[in-house]
Amino acid sequence: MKRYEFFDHTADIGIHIFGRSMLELFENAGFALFDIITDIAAVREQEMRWFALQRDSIDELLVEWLGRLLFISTTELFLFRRFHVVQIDGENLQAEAWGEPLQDALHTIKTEVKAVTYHNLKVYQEQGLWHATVVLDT
Amino acid sequence: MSEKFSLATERIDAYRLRIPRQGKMQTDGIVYTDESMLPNIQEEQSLLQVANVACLPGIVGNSLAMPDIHWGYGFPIGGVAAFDMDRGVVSPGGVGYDINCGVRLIKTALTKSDIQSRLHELVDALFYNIPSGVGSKRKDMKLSSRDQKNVFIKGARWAIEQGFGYAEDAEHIEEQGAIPGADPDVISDYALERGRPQLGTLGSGNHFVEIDFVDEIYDAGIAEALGLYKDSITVTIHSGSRGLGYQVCDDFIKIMLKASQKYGIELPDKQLCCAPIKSEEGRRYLAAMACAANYAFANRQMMMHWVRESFEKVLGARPGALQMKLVYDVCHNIAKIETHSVGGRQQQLCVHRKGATRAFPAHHPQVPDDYKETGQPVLIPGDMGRYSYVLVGTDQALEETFGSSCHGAGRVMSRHQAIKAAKGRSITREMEDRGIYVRAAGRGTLVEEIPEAYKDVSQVVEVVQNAGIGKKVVKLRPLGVMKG
Repeated sequence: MKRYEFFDHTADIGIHIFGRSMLELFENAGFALFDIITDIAAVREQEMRWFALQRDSIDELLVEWLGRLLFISTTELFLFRRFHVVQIDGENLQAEAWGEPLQDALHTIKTEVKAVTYHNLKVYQEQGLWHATVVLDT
Repeated sequence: MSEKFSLATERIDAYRLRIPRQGKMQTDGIVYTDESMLPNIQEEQSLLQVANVACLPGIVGNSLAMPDIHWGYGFPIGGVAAFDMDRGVVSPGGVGYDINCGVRLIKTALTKSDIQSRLHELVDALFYNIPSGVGSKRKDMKLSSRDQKNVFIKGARWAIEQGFGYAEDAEHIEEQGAIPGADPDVISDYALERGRPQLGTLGSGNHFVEIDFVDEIYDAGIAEALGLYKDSITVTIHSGSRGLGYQVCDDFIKIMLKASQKYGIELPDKQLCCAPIKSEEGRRYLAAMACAANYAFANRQMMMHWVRESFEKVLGARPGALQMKLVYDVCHNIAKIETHSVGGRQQQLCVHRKGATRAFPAHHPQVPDDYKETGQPVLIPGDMGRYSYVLVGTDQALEETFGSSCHGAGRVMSRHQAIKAAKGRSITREMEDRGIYVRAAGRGTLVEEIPEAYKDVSQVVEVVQNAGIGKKVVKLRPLGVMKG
């Protein structure tokens, strides 16, 4: 199973994310974000960040999760590589993510993502698989 | 997003397309486009986005789209919509994440032949002096939280007071470089944290600093009034409010999602979430947006100062000797409280311009004295390989589009398509073959920004000119480009 694929959006980047469970869907969404930002294979798992997030709906929770990862990445100049969503209970999420601080000698930035938008935002289940569509402002 | 919404359209004339009021639309949509550009527009969701904006409460006049219309999020890019101050709404999605993304044009006393042999040095100096790409900053820049609050209120004037430029620069900036109503107390700690290290940085993606020459003159009188002559050198800066603006937008979309429910506003797309202009949420957003807009004015002011320093250093000139003066600075992602004539009556409105430029005509009170006879300069960058335009605003724009015009070329290829199209090519070499020296901070930037990823900006400008919502003054051609 592919973790995500692009759908064409003219000005920005549209991604369609897959997961065998809701937890995996959210993990793959984190992976997709950092696969777009950097050469993710070069990022090492050196530090962990813990997340406890809440929103009014599951699709908004997905934006919140990606938005928090992006916020830490841009303010701390930190890159994530591995994501473990421990629990999604209603509209609450608990997760861990591993990565390391950005170092020019080790990492390349492929795309600066400005924001995670709500346009065409969907989280749904189809034929036993979880799907999400998200547009990133770049 | 209602995919079932099948959209009827009808042509008004060669340059205008109407989306008649249908479904939940409160008014017609009008798109400025010609037949040749329409197929690209129809392939994406941008016309539906024009219709979606027409569904928002209190919209005045039509839901408009400029000829560089393309698929955005919520509002289309190129979208213009005005709202009644009492019945209407303000929407962070109608401004965008990069609040007051805009363009600044600097003229010089130099001609093409003066700098041709020094071009690499000039671009390299810009690259050295202006931080670009992710995480870069000037080591000599440290912003205290008190400074940051002053930036929010004073905008470009804060930068000028710190020695970045001259007092006269502010006269040639939209709103004199500071939108009123900024309130630093409504800015979240998250936004403060994201914005603090990024003042005086270019960013990446489609942001750039570009050295051009005046290639063609369409209106000699206006060009002279603007100080633009055949072969004279100009510098264009395209940047915005950086992470501060992105975070302000993000923060307020969360607030507006709740507000839309609270005020019973039905949303065709969540990204269009909004609140009544005079509600607590609406007022707070406008106060926060003004902070971010003013930060962007200060940001471009600082970068202009470093452009001046770079040129003076490379060319061994005394400060001021190169006559590097600001032609104008425009916002193209903004919501403004403006007075317009509606049905023969003067009315205060909240005008959203999302990827659209204000284009006020000669003698408008908001146009600086120097340009009273010419109209406000409208700066339209194209892609890095072809050309850009300088226009001025017209009376017709004021009547038809709340004084608005296009903002750029508009993409035709997604970034992903552009990366595929550029595979195996050396974009730097291709640009050198066209006589353009390009340097970029990010590895991905150049391939995403290949010229063919954009519409031909001359087509966009032709529609603007023929529809009468802008008047061509000069065409600029790039010589050196610094990309983020």
